[in-house]
Amino acid sequence: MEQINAKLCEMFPGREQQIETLLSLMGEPQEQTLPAIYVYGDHSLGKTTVIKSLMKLALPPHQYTFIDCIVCFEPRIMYQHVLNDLTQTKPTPTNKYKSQKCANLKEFVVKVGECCQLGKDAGETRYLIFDQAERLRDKSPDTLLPTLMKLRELDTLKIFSKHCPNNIDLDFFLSFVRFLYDVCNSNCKDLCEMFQLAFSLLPKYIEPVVKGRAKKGDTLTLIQHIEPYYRQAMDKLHLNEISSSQNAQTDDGIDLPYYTKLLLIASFLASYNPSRLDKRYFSKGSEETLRPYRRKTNQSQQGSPKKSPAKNSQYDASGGGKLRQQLLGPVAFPVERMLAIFDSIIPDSIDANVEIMKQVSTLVTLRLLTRTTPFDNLDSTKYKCNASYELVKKISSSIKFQIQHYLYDFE
Amino acid sequence: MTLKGHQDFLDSVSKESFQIRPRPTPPVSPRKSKKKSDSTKGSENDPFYFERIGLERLLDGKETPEAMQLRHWGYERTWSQILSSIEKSLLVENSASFNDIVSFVDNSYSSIEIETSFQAFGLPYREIPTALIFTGINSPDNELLFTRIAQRLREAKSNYVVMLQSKDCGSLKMTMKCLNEQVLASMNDFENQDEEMNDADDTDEMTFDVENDKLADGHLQRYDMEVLAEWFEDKRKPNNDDKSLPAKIVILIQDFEAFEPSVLEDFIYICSQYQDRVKFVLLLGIATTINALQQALPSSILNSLRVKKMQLQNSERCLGRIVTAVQVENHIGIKLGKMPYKYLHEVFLLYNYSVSSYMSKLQYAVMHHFFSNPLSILAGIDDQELPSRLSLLSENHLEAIRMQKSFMKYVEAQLPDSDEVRRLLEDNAYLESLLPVLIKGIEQYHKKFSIAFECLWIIQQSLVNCKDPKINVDRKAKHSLYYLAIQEDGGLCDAYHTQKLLVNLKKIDSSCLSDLLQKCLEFFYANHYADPCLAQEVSELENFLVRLCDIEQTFIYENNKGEESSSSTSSTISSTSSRTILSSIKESKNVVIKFSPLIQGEEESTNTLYTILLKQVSEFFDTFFKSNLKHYSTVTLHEVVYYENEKLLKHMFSVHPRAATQKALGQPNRYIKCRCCDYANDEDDEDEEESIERIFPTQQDTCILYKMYLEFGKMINMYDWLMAFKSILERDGPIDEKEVQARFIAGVTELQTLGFVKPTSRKADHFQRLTWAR
Repeated sequence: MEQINAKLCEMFPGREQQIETLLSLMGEPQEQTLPAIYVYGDHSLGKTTVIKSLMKLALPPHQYTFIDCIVCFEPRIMYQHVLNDLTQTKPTPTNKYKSQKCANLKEFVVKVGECCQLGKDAGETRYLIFDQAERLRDKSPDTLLPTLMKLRELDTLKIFSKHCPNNIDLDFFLSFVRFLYDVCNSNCKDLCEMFQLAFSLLPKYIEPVVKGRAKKGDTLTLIQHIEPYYRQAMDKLHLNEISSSQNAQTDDGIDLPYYTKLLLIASFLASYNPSRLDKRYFSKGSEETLRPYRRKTNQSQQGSPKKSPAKNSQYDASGGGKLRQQLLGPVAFPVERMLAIFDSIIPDSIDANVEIMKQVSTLVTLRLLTRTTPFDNLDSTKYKCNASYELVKKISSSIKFQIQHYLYDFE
Repeated sequence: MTLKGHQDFLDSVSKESFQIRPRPTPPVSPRKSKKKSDSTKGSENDPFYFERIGLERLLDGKETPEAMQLRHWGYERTWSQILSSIEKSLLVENSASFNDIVSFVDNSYSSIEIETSFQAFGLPYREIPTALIFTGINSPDNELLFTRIAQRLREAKSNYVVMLQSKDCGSLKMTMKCLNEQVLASMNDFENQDEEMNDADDTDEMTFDVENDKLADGHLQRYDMEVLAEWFEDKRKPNNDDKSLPAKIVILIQDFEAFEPSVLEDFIYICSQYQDRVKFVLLLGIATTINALQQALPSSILNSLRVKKMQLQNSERCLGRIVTAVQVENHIGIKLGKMPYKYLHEVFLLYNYSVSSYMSKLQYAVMHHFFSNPLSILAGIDDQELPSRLSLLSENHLEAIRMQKSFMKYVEAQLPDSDEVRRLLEDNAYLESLLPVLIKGIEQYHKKFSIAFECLWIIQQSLVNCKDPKINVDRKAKHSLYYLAIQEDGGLCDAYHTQKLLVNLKKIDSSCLSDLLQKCLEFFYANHYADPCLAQEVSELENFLVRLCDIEQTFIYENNKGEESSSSTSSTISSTSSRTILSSIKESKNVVIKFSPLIQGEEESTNTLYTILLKQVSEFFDTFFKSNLKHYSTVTLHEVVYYENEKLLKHMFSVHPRAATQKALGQPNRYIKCRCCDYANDEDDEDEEESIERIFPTQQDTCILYKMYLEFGKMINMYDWLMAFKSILERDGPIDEKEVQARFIAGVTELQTLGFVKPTSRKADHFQRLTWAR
C-alpha cells in the first residue's frame, strides 16, 4: 500500500492528499468499505486519471471495472461491460463477440452477486467506477441509480468520478508553464486548454534558444518573443481554432446567393425589430402618406402633425436599457412578415416563387433560422433568426445593404 | 384534384401533358444507354419509337425519319460531351482540395507521432484529427462531392470510409449502428477483393452482418463501440499478416448542421474515448461557418478535436468553370442564347448557387433545342460529318433556313447584288453549296471569340494585379464577363467594361506591359500558334514586345552613355526566331526599369516613345476585340447553335404551383378533354374569360366550388356555398340531399388542402378565403 501511495504521488504532484484519502478509504481488500465515494470537482482536475492509475496499481483487473457512462449509453451495454470486466470475459470476433448475458437490472444484480463469490478472492471488495456519472441520472430505468447505490449489499463499492489529466514537469518547461499559468489563470481554468496552449506555443518559445539567440535562463526575452503569438492564441483559445495543427486559411465570410442573404437579413430584422415599427422602417411611401395614419392614432391628443415625431422619439426613449431586444434575443415571427420585409428591402421587386421558399427552408437546415411551430402546422409558420449580429452585419456589408438604418434600438 | 373519370380521362391527361414536353433523362446512366441501343436497333420496326422518346415530326410533319433520328442522336451526343467537359473542369477545380483531404487523412496519425511531445508529457487524451470541410450551402451538390471524396479515400486502401448522414443518425444508437455496420460491411468488401482471407472468416462476418439486431442475448449489442474496437484490434494483431489492411477509420459527416448536436457531441466523445484503440479520422462538412461548430459542441468536445480547415469548391468559381467549358471553349456544341443564359445566370447567383440545378436546366435547354429545332441536325458536328448532313437536307429544311432572321439579314446585306439575292432565295442548290461556308463561319467565330475572350481576361487580370493607384478597374468574374458579352447587343467589344480596360491600359508602366504582352503571347503560343488566322496578331504582339525592349535598352544606353551600346543586344533579339523571343526577353529583363506613360509634358524622348507604344498597343487590342468579340447575333445562322427559348425554361424550372392549380380548377376542360363541357372548340379567345365564369354541373365538384369561391368575399358562409352548389348540381335533375352534402364536403376539404380556404374561429359556420388573385 505504501509503495502504491508513493508511486502515485510521484505521478501526480499536488494530488497527494486525495490519493491518500482514497487509499485509506479503500483499506484492505477484506475490510468493509464505504457504500460510495463521490469524487467531484471541475473539469480537468485529474479525477479520472488519478483513479484509473490508482485502481490499476492497487487491484487485480477483475476486482474493479471502469465504466464511462457516455460510452455505455444504454443500461444494457453497461451491464455487459461491468460483468465482462468482473468475469474477465473478452469479446473477440472469433467467439462472435461473446459476452455475459444480461438483459435487465434484476439479472444484473444477481449476476454481480455471483461474480463476487467467484474465484479465490471471494469476499474481497469489488469496485465499480462510473465516469461521467451525471449521465446515470438520465438512464432509462428509474431504478438504476438507487439500485447501484444499494449494490453495497453485494459488498461492492461505487465511486463516482469525472474526467481529466495532470501535468509532468521539466526544468525549462516549468518556467514557461508558470508564466503561461500566471497569464491564463484568470480566463482559462480548463487544463486541456492550457495543454493545447502550452504545446502550440512551446515551439515558438524554444525557437530563440535553438537558434542560439537567447539562453535558457533568459525568461524575459523569451516571453517577449512569444507575446504576439500568445495574444493571437488567447483570442481563439476557447474556440479551439489553434489546436495542434494550425492553419492560416481562414474564411469567415459565408457564401450565400444574393436573395438568400437578403432573406437572412429580413429575418434578422423581423426577429429584432418590434413589429409595430415595421411601417416606419419599411413603408415604401413617403412620410406624407404615413401621417394620416399617425394622426388617427393620436386623435385623442388633438393630433397635430408636430406631435407624431414627438411620439416617435418617445419610442426611442422608452426603448433601450436592459430590455433591449438585442439583449433579449430573437423573437419568433410569422413567415409572411419576414417575406413582406424582404419584399421591401430588395432593390427590385420579384415575383414570389418557389426558389425563395426553398431558400427559407435551406436557411432552416443551415440552422440560421429556427422553426418554432410544429411541422404539421402549415397555416401559420413561425421562425426565429439564429444568426448573430456580426454575421448579419458582414453579410449586409457584402451586398452594400445598410442594416444599421433599419434596426431599432441597436448598438 | 382527384379524377373521378374512367380510364379514358387518365389517358388523355397523360398524353396531353407529356407529349409536348418530354422529360429529360440523363443519358449517362447505364440503364438509359442500354435502352438507347435497343431502340436504335428497333427504330425502323417500331412505328411508335419517336413518339415514345417524345420526338415530334417537325417542318409541318414533313421531316424525314432520318433527320429525326439524327436530332435524337445529336442531343445524346452533345449532352454527353457537355457533361464530360463540365465534369472534367469541375474536377480540376476541386482536385487541389481533394488532394489536401487525402494527404490530411494519410498524415493524420503520422504527424501525431512526430509530435511525441504530447505522449512524453503524458497528455491523457489523444485528439481526433478532424478536417472541417467548408462546402458552401448547397447540400445536394455536396452529396456528389462527398461521394467522390469517399471514393478517393477508399482507393487509397489504407482507410475504412464511413459516411454518416443526418437522415440515418437520429439518435446515438442509430449513429453507432450505422458506423459499425458500414465498417464491417466495407471490411467484407476488402476481404472479397483480397482472396487471401479464408472464406470461413468471411461468412462468419456476414452472418454477423445479416443476423443483426437479434443477436443472441449472450453477445454484445450491435451498436456497442466495443465490437468495433475489438474487431479493429483483432485485425491489427501481428499474426494477421496482411499488410494492406486499413489502419484508420475515416468518418465522413457531410451535413454537420443537420445533425442533432447532442448526438454528435456524445458520438465524438465516444470516439475520443476509444481513440487509443481505434484510429479515427473525422471529416466534417460544414455548410456555413466555423461558428456553427462552436455553437453546436461544448468546448470539452472541441478540445478533443485537432482541427484543420479546408475549403471545397467556391460556387461562383464553379459557375465560371462551367461557363468557360460550355460557352467559351466548346466550339461546335450548343450554346445558350441571350435570355436563357441570363435566366440561368440569375437563378444561380441570386437564388440557389446550385450547380446541379444549373446543369439540369442546361440539359433541358440542349434537349429542347434538338427536339424542337429542325435545323439542329447541323449543330454540333465536325467537318467529316458535314457533307452527309447536308445531303439529308430537304426542301423544307432549306425553306426553314431562309426563314431565319439572321439569314434574312445576310440576304439584305447582299442586296446591291440582286442576282445573288435571287439565287439565295430561289436556288436550292446554290444555297446548299453555300451552307458549308456559313456553318464553318459559326465555328470560326467561336474559335476567334474564345481567343479574344481569354485575351481580354488576361488583360483584366494583369491590370488588376499591377496595383497601380492610377488604374481603376473592376474585377469581373469570368461568368460575369461572359454575361456582358452576351447581354450587350453591341457585343463585348463595345461594352463599357472593355472600353474602360483599354483606357486604363494606356496608363500602365512598362514592367506591367511587358508582363501582359508576354502572358498574351504565351496564351497564343499554347493554344493557337498553328492557326493561320492569328498569325498576324501574334507577329504584331511580338513586334510590340521587341519595341518595348528596344525602348528600355535605349533608356539604359542614354543613362550610361559611356558604356557600350546595348542596342546590339536588342537587334539580336529581333533577329531570333519568334518562339525564343519570350525566353530571351525574360533573361534580358534582369534590369528593372519602370516607365510610366507621359502625363505632364515631360520632355524625355524615351517616355514619349513609350507613350506612343502604349497607344498603339491599346489600339491594336481595340481592333482585335472589335473584329472578334462581336455579338453572336451578328453571325449568320447563329440560330442553329444558340438556344433562345427562355420562356419555356422559366416555365419548367421557376414553377408557379398556384397558377397551375388555379388554371386547372378554372379551366378543367383544358386538362380533361371531355365531351360534356366541350365549349372551347367553337369559341374564340374573347370568350375564354367567360368560359372561366361559366359553371357546368358536369364539371368536377372541386372546380364548381372553386368557381363559386371566386365570387365570395373574405369570409365564406358555408351554408350559402352549399346551397349554391346544390342549385348547380340540380340543373341536371333532382339529386339526393345527402349526396350533395358528401360531395360538397369532399370538395371543400380538397380546396382546404390546396390552401384556398381555411376554417376560422372568428365567425361561426364560416370559412376564410385565402387567395385573391386569379
